[in-house]
Amino acid sequence: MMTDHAFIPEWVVLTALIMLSSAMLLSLYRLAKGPSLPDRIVALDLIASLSIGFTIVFAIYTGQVRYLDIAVIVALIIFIGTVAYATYLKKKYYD
Amino acid sequence: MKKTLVKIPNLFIFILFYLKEMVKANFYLARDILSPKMRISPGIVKINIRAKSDNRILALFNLITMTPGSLCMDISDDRKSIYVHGMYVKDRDSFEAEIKEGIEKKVLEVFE
Amino acid sequence: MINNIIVSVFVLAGAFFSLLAAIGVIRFPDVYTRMHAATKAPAFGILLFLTAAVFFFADFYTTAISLMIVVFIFLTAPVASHIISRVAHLLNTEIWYKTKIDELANDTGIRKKKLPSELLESDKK
Repeated sequence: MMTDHAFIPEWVVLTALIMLSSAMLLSLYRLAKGPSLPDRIVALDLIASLSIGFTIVFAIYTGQVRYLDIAVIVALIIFIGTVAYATYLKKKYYD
Repeated sequence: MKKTLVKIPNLFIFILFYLKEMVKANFYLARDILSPKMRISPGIVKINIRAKSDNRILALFNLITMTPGSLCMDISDDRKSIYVHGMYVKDRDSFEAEIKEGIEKKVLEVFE
Repeated sequence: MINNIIVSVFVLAGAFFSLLAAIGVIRFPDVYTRMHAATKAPAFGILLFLTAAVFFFADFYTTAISLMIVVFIFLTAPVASHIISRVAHLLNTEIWYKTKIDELANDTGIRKKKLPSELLESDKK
């Protein structure tokens, strides 16, 4: 490759972003409807994973490597969030 | 300190196996989700494990969760058996044999 | 040229698997089967996205960061699903009526009610 970065067609990025947005809408529906509390935690976990995907696609779209740092931070934080929610529910059960 | 965590060539074999299993798991999942009729038959099965050390149990947990149609739920207090939620549980014994012969054997081979 | 095609295919495949996870979370009948969809598919989708990023930027920094994210996600996703399903079972969350066996309930004595499939069989008698 002579150029700095590989070239990616715009419609590919747009299709990927549309698919990710519809995935996020679907999981928001599950978050709102979810019959039980664990369902909502699953939906939140999925939303966080989808936002990591958003960040990486956005980094490819703009050609800025630095956006990947955000993905690292989100990946570090979502795990703590999920474990905190689950621990809270467990505590509620034992009380 | 003679014991090492894992031998290096074995680790590469393990990573390749992991990737293969994960691709397979995702295509099974795609088939299940996109097929119009639900053909899954879930169940929670107790499986006695031979793995004793922490490394092996961690690897087993990871691998079971990422392989097609099984998800680790809990480990018993005496660390001798685990509870696995399976998607395609035809009957109890064949599911247990599948996990034991396929995944646990691999983990026992690779990890010390 | 070949690089562009690889990047495009990996981005589209990653988006497809992320969408698949969301459809699975909508379609599957109970928490435990939803967990299958919400654990495996997004992790695989992120792996594909990061492979695309590595091919796209093709430098050391991206590779190192991607490796870090992948290792972290694949170490934590099973732990998160384990703790959520454990808590769901502890709270006696409703299980699908076609579930065949539930040996965890027998051992912990959590589930006071019978499994729906067992209940149906006893009703028939």
